[in-house]
Amino acid sequence: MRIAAIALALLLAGAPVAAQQPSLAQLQQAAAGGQAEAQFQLAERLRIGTGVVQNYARAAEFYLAAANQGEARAQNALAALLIRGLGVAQDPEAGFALLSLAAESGAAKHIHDLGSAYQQGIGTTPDPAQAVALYQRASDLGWQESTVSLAVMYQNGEGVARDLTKAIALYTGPAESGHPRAQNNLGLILVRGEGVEQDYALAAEWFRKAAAQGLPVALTNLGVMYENGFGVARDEEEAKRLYRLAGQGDAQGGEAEIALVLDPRLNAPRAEEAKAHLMAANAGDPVAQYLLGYLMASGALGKPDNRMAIQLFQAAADKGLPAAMANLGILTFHGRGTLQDFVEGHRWLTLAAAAGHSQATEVRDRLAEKMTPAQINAANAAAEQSWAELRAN
Amino acid sequence: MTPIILTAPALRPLALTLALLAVHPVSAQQAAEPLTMEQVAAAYKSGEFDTARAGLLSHAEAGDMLAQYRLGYMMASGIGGGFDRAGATKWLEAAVAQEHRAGLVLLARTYLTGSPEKPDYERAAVLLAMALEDGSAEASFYLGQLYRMGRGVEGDVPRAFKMILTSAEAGFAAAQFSVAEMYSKGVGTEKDDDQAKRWMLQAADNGSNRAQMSLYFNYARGTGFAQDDARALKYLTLAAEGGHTLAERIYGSKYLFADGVEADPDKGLEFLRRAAAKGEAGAQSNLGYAYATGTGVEEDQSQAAKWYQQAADQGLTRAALVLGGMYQAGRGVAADTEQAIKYYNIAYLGRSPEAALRLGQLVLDGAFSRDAEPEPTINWVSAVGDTGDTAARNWMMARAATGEPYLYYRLALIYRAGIGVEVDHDKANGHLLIAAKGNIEAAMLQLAEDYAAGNGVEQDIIEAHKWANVAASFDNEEAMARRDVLADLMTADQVAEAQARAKAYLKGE
Repeated sequence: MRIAAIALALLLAGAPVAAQQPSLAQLQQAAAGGQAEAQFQLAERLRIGTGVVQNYARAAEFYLAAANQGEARAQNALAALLIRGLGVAQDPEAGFALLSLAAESGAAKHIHDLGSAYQQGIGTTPDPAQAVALYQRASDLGWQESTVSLAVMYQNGEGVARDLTKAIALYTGPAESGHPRAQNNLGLILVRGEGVEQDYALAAEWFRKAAAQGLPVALTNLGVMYENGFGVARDEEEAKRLYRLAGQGDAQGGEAEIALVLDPRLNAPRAEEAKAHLMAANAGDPVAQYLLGYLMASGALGKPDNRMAIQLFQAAADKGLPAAMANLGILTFHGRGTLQDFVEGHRWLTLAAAAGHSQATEVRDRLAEKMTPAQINAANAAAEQSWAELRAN
Repeated sequence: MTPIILTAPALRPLALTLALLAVHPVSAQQAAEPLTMEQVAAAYKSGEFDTARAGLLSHAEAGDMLAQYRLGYMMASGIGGGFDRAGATKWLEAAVAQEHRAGLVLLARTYLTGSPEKPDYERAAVLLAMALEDGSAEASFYLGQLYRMGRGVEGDVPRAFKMILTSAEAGFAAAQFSVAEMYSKGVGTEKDDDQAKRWMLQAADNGSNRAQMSLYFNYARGTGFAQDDARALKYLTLAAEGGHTLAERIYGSKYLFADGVEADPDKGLEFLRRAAAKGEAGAQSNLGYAYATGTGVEEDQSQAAKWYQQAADQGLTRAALVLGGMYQAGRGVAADTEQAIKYYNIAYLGRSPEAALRLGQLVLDGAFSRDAEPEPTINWVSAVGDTGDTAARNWMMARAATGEPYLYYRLALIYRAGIGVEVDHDKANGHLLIAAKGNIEAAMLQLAEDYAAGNGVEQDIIEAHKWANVAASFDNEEAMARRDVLADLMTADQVAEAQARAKAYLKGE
């Protein structure tokens, strides 16, 4: 059986972005004037890097300024950068201290993150009992992520006596309201028949719900059910498809298909127009270069010609076309048609995001999971310099 | 007279036209009194076909429907003179215009064959539809084929199947073969292996050479039928005797080389000659072998060369290799290095490793040089080098130094494996590095493999990733796959270091 281990995720990053956004200039002015909220918001922008060049180092500066003014969200976010060493020297102990400080605000998310640090021993000695207590507190405040983590602790008997009935009870609420990790773990309990009657069909249903939300481990688990015909009709093709999807979603997806991105402002490139694009591309039209590059790399014109696509994307990217930058980044990241170079790939995706390609942010952050903090920091610095050069041109 | 002797099942143009276009002596009687129809019939019966054919002309011209039909038939079948497709069409049209219904199918077939004009499927379909009204099984088959291919009529495969099946049920052998084939592939009907087998057997027993050959292969290999050598031989015999070219070659070879049967050289040679006369290269080559080795016939090198030549000129690799050798040695032909090289090259292009070796040796002997085409020359000599030959290795070394990075790669493989030399990993590694600098992707991949496995170098997964990545940057798919497999075994820090090294390497640092 290849049922994967229970999904555990440390959810330190990912604070929601404010709905209504002041301009960058306004934020910079207010931040310089010492407003903690503006400092925090500016740091968020710099961390995410949409419409501005992602720069963890500069984000850290503004988080620090806000943190020093007692802004708990900034303390929590700066802790995440310190723990990984993004934009700052890696210092898990300092990160842990900041997590503790942020948790004092009483915000459920910050309490949860501190619990997670205790569970995994980040910047401190692992202390599962402390983790359980913190998860319980955050859960009582209605933080679903903590309810699920608490359930995992009960399921594994970690920091608390093993209690599957309790775990199932804890999973049920979040699972029913659509929490993928809860759904997957509940499915796993049903497959194993732990503390509950074994029920493959119901387990498959939970895996299916979690898989529908793209959770890679759930896609794999559902694939196992199909491969063995557990709770579903045996279907090897479906199993293979699910395994492929799982590979695409996780960080290990070495052989995953490469998904290029489109320019949302333009119609999708069409193979019939390749000839016209070729003429225009040769004449130096960046839009045509991008469209033709896309057709060549996507295989719409036969066997993909990645080297040619790289040249075309490069030409269009140099002229500032965001979708070309993003695709150049993606091909470079996967080493198709050019040397595989995560730093270069990240740099191009960061530039694309800064130039306004919203999908580039998401793609970059998914691919960045394979990178070392040093590579990410190097890519940030290189992007900052390229951005200045692009603007000068 | 049976109207249709022309029972070749397939609608194929007759390739033998040229060979049979013999000039026939004009019969003495023709100059004198025209023959009566009775005299024509008598001549035909006694086998004096040219007399009969000549005698029919005046009757046909005078509007005799039967004479028109018979003349058209003889012209279409190449009896009593060469094939005359245009003449056949003309006379058969005349006969059909006079309501000679039995001529419809034959006329249709002249349109289907089309030679020398273009086929006229529309006209053929009209004629076949008329013949079908008379219940002609043949017409049902040919019209079915047109529906199957959508020629001259709107394509309709299920309808085609029905028509061909009708023809098969009426006992037409070619249709029986087609029905078997359609059942076996599920064309125009449900796939049905039992029906396919049943019809195949029926077609074979009914004289379809193609069905016989199909059964020969199936019985011999045990595909679809239980393996049965006796049955296989039975059907092969039928097909060979029926004039199926491939069958003649296989059957002849069996008897000549006593392959599963008792040797019967005369029979073997006879059937090989039949196939060879029709241009079957394999049969020509086997005849060459028989003469060259004195198998079943008196050894005769010049006969051997003649047969090998015919096969080699058709591009048959094994014949070209042997013939090259005969020219090189002056065996059966005058020694001629140019010719030897020409035929070795044909064999080389047919992927004969032996041909590469012979050509390489000729280059080393100074018999020729092909400076205009460095690539094959390098491959030939490298093939010799791969046998451990010192002269070849020296040639490769000297040539490599003139700027052929690929040769460093080939030399590296020799030193790596120790072929004719002491294993020398340092030398191999050095050569691979030079070749890699010259953008030889295979050398980069070899470096990646050696570093990954610690083969003659210290194991270094970072260095392995670097080389796989560099090779992958040339869009080498094997390298991409290798790089990604390596990455799965590496930490993010190791991958980062490997990427930095690859980048520095390509920048020339």
